[in-house]
Amino acid sequence: MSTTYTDRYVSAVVKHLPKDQHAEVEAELRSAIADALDAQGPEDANAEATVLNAMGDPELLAATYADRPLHLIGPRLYLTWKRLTVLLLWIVVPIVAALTAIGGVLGDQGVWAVFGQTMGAAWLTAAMVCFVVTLVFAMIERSGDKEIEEVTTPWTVDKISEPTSPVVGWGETVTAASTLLITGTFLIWQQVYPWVHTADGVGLPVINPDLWRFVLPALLVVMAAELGAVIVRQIRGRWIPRDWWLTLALNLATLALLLPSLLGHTFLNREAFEAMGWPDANSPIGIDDLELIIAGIVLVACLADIIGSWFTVRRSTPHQGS
Amino acid sequence: MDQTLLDSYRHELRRGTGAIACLALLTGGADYGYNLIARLAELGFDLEANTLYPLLRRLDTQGLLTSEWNTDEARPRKFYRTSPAGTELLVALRQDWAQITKTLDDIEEN
Repeated sequence: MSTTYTDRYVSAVVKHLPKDQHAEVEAELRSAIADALDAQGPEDANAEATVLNAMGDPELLAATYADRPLHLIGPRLYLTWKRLTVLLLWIVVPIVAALTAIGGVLGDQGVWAVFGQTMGAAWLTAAMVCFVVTLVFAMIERSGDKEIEEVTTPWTVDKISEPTSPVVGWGETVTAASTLLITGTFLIWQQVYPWVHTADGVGLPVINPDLWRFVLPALLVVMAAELGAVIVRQIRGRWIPRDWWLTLALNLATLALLLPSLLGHTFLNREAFEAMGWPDANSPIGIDDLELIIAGIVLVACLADIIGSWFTVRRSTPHQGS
Repeated sequence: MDQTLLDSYRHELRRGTGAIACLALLTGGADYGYNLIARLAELGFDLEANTLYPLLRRLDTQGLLTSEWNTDEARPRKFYRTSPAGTELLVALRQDWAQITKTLDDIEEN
């Protein structure tokens, strides 16, 4: 059958498009291909191949139809992506490296072991920073955000918007992003490369490994969402009321995930502390107290974030009367 | 002259003008994709099918064109026509274009 090529081509294009456009684009393409075939003349045996070759890669055509970017990060986001990646590498990698080195020295390990661990931690953190930041930006690029769509539509002079004063500073963004990345690295690091070992060399993570069944992966997802929100805000340049609701939701999720295990005294890995030899009979506080202190810090940090962002949103949207 | 260099600059120049050409041609009357390609080619404006069809669809969803399926003939075809909003945009872009031409002329004269 001479229609099979066309059938395959059309379905190859359509499958990369949203469902609601399938029927319409399919009908359009079929009529377009039929018209082009007629123009080739009936005597041309390879007419169908010629016409379809001229239409090109079906996925490319589908991307053109859907206005989907054919790059990971476009020119609008590229410079922000580059600045943020470089800044975060400069901040997060040295901090993680220093913490790893200090941990190694306190753990009474040899110089070369500490050096190796530090380099490994630095390298892994750098890779993670690059990957996570790039992932977030690539998702923003594909989110169909209105502000991003503006630059893909035909440009006219009246499209120039009034410059808005950027209320979101780089310092704020970088501090938040660094904190999230360092905490994330720590959570994974303490599990993958525990620095406390049993007498026969089995690694003991300081956080209860059972929590990886749900709590810790969920916490990482919440933190990734928070990082995404921070970056979107930096690109937008100002806070909008939606940011406060998002901050509220993410902080409540963090509390809901962490408080049960902290208050239920299942957060820290008892075995690891036993192997460390702390706390002993002379210690002023025990593991239970330590968990309560962590719970207190988490609670204060989350509440401060919720309240702080409430005032920021109110300050930065004075004219919208929210 | 370096042909690839010329081609790349031509491509840059053509990219934005395809929409203007379509809006201008479809102001006169409704037409369908393949015929539009032929008319554009006749006028010396080579626009590939894989550029034109997505462009028509985009202009349609942006409300700059209106579209209607014509099923009178053996083959159903989608006919496009420039909408009032499209005409408005066309006028604005034509003014820009005229300004660019005028400026370039002025530069050459001096």
